[in-house]
Amino acid sequence: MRIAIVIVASMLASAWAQDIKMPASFDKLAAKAEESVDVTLDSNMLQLAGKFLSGNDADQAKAKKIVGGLKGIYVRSLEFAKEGEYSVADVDAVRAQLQAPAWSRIVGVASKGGSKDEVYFKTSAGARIGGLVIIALEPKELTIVSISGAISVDDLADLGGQFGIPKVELPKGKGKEQ
Amino acid sequence: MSRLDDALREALRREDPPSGFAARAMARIEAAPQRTSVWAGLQGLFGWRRWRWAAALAGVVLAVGAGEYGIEMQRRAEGERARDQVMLALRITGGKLRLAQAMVQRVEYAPRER
Amino acid sequence: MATAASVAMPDRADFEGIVREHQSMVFSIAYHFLRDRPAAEELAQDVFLQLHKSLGTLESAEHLTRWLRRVATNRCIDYCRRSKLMPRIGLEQVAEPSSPCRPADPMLSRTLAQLVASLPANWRALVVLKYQEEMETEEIARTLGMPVGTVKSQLSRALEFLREKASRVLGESQ
Repeated sequence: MRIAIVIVASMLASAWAQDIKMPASFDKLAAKAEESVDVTLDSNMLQLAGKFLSGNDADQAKAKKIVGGLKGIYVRSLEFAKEGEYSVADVDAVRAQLQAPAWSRIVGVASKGGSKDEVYFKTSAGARIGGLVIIALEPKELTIVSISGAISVDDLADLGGQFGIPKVELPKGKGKEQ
Repeated sequence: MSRLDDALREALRREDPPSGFAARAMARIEAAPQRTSVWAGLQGLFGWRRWRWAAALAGVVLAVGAGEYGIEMQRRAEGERARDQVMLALRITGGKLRLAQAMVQRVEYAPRER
Repeated sequence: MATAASVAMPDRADFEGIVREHQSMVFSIAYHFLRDRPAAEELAQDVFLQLHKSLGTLESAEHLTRWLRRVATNRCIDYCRRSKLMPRIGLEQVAEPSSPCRPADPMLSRTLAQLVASLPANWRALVVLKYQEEMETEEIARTLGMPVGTVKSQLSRALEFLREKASRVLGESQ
């Protein structure tokens, strides 16, 4: 069975900017991973990317609209050959950064199979989302997505099935758990 | 291969659409407003294969000096790489949000075994 | 700069030929998703309308097939979300035969198809692509732009769910 190893080199050597910082342990985890995705795009790179996103392609046109308001997109996704390669401590180091009042956990679900998904929004003025963090855990896979900058719920919804971002509602009040 | 696999293959076999589907689809396509881009028009005028090579050659000729050409190509490569990374990142994001949604819905689906 | 296509721009007869060649695949994806023939036909026609506009961007016959599967699947997911049709059919509406069925039993097929149509949209998409189109996990991942691990785990959960719900009709013990 052919296994595609996707390695996307960071465009910058620097650590993640803005909202959350990736723990140092993730570099060691990446060395153990069978597949690794590493996307680091700050505002300059997003601006550059925006010039190459085609308005003639439906997916790219939607992406262009979304990235227009963003300050950064950061993705680390690691897939391992066997279970138990990452620890709770690796993930708690990210969760700890999301305890600030500006962040609200919108979704927190777990399944018997060992999967856990958490979605956090950073609220900002005007009922817009100021940031988005997803922590997606499976027994052999760990994914952290951090998007900084203004995202409107309509922008997320407009992506529709292509990117599959569902309609979600901003939390009312500052309740962390829904 | 389990019985479920066999049964699903049988249950989800391809079906033919209602008779006349292709004709109705063509009628819709022909009735839709035609979008004509400059690119499409030029393709029609010159034949796309010749135009493709002509466009590539014209691009090279127009670039002034080998140095500027090199810088432009490097910038283009960086921009295309950044574009591809944006698309990858948003697909992963969408996939993870879909997964979270599915898990939430599965909780809603689960029979009440209390 | 636009990229020239490797698939030559077809005339009307050629495009109709493309529609005829792929109509069964596209319609079936929509029908197994929506379980509604008129809606499936309309959705399938939308896909071909979009194909007519996008044909110049496709690079090969394989790319065209992959494009059709991806666009048809994504439109089905969009349709479900817009129509609030998740689930399209409630589980309580799925009639269970009184005794275990053999594979290739029409009653079993209909029950399973209804169960598939009651899955969350993204699980439904994976099951349809795997069993209708007989696609491998890696191919599904590439078509939908998802990580392979995610496809594997979601498919596994969808099948676990189906197995549990269909265990009685399949005559398998839980």
